[in-house]
Amino acid sequence: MTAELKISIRGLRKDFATRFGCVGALGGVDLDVREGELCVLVGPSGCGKSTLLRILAGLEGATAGTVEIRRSGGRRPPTAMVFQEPSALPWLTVRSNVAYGLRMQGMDAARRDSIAARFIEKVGLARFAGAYPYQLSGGMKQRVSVARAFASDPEILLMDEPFGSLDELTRLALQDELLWLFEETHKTIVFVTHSIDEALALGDRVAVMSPAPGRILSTIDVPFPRPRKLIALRENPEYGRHVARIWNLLGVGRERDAAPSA
Amino acid sequence: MPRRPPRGLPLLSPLFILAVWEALARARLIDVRFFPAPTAVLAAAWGTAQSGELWADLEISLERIGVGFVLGTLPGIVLGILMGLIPLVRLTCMPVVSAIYPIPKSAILPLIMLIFGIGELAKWVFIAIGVFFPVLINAMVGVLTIDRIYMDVGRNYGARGLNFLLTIALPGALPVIFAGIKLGFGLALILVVIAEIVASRAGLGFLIWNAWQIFDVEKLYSGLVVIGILGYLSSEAIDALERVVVPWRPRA
Repeated sequence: MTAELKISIRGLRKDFATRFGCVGALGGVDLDVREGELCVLVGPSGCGKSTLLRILAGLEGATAGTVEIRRSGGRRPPTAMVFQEPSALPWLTVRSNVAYGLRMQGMDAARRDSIAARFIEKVGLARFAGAYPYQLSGGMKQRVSVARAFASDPEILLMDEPFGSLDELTRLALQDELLWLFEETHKTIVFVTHSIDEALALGDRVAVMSPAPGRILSTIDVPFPRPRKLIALRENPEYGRHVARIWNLLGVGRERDAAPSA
Repeated sequence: MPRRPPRGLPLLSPLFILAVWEALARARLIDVRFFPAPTAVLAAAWGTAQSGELWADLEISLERIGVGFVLGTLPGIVLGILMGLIPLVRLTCMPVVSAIYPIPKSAILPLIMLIFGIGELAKWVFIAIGVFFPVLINAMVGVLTIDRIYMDVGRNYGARGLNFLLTIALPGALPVIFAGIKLGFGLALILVVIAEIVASRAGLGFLIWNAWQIFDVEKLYSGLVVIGILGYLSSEAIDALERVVVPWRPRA
């Protein structure tokens, strides 16, 4: 790959002060993400994946280390985040939610509405453009958040287990939609999940993290060509081999091989 | 499935009580000097309405409520939201609010008249102070209870300053602010009557007090009825406003 570096993370550490003293969430993360790449972070619960995303999003500061996001100029915001929990603003209609990022950039109403309409169409919510979030199902609310993030045209997209709380079928549908939104727009995406399956289905590269304080144990290039088909992917013999490899890195099943230490 | 009760049902119990009251009064089983028949109260109300006295008093009271309500609500919402958003403002203002809020508002009326005289301004200030506190506290609590995720969305998408206030804090707090506005309006009704009893020659409070002084019991009751109707209609009006301003909440 010759694409330019988009994100460069060096020695990133984050400690939290708690009642029980200082707890390390991130223990020195080094990671590069290329322009137009979908990089997936997988790791055990509590390994600091979400903290890493929140630092990238500017919602939290780091204890040490640096994060650089290469800007392409203009009014584009550095990041747009899709959260795990429903985050469509309850007081805005689907249309206004999707246009929210553009509105904060100061774009005039006519232009942002036409851009929003395009992305609402892409996630299949055209009929619900005037609806409020309480009138939508969980999957539809998440589609609103995805459309909002893409519509605001950020330098990088951050996704924090965006499909984690959805049922299996809805999750597959949203993964599929994300795949073709990504393959169409070629945004740079950092995607956090604890599903190995999801990581391989979506990612160009999978970065496997250690338990807290989180570090990157290894990054794995995902060889499947795009555009991807979620079903065909699972029939690929390479698929199972990659699942096993990531399992091994995460140490799944290791408890049975060694005596439990705690 | 249970059948839906007929629409007029809520009217039935008051009508029944009024009918019993009327019957008892006509049979002279209750002392009509204290409990005049509802029809007699209605006649008295009709009389004051015909003479224009009722409308004049109603108008002056409504004006006092309206001005005082707006004077108290707007700063209450603004300061309450700022207290909810900015810890420094909250920590600075909260002790003062906690100290002044519990003082019965009727107790500060003499002080207000001392400072602002006995004209309209004193009534507006008096009502405004009463409305200010419940609105302020509800606006603050409303902001403090906004789900953190919406705050994160606002910050992540670059909402700062006034933008953040108008697109996240205010709409997020609005449902709770409306609870404060309802409390505040109830207080405004109480306070306008107190002010008019103590220091006014007009208004519904004066109408009631004056009726007591000349022992016109029917007129006294008619004043109470008008205030009751006013309270009911205003709460309906606030509910209707809430449905327009807060259209995003599911309703039963």
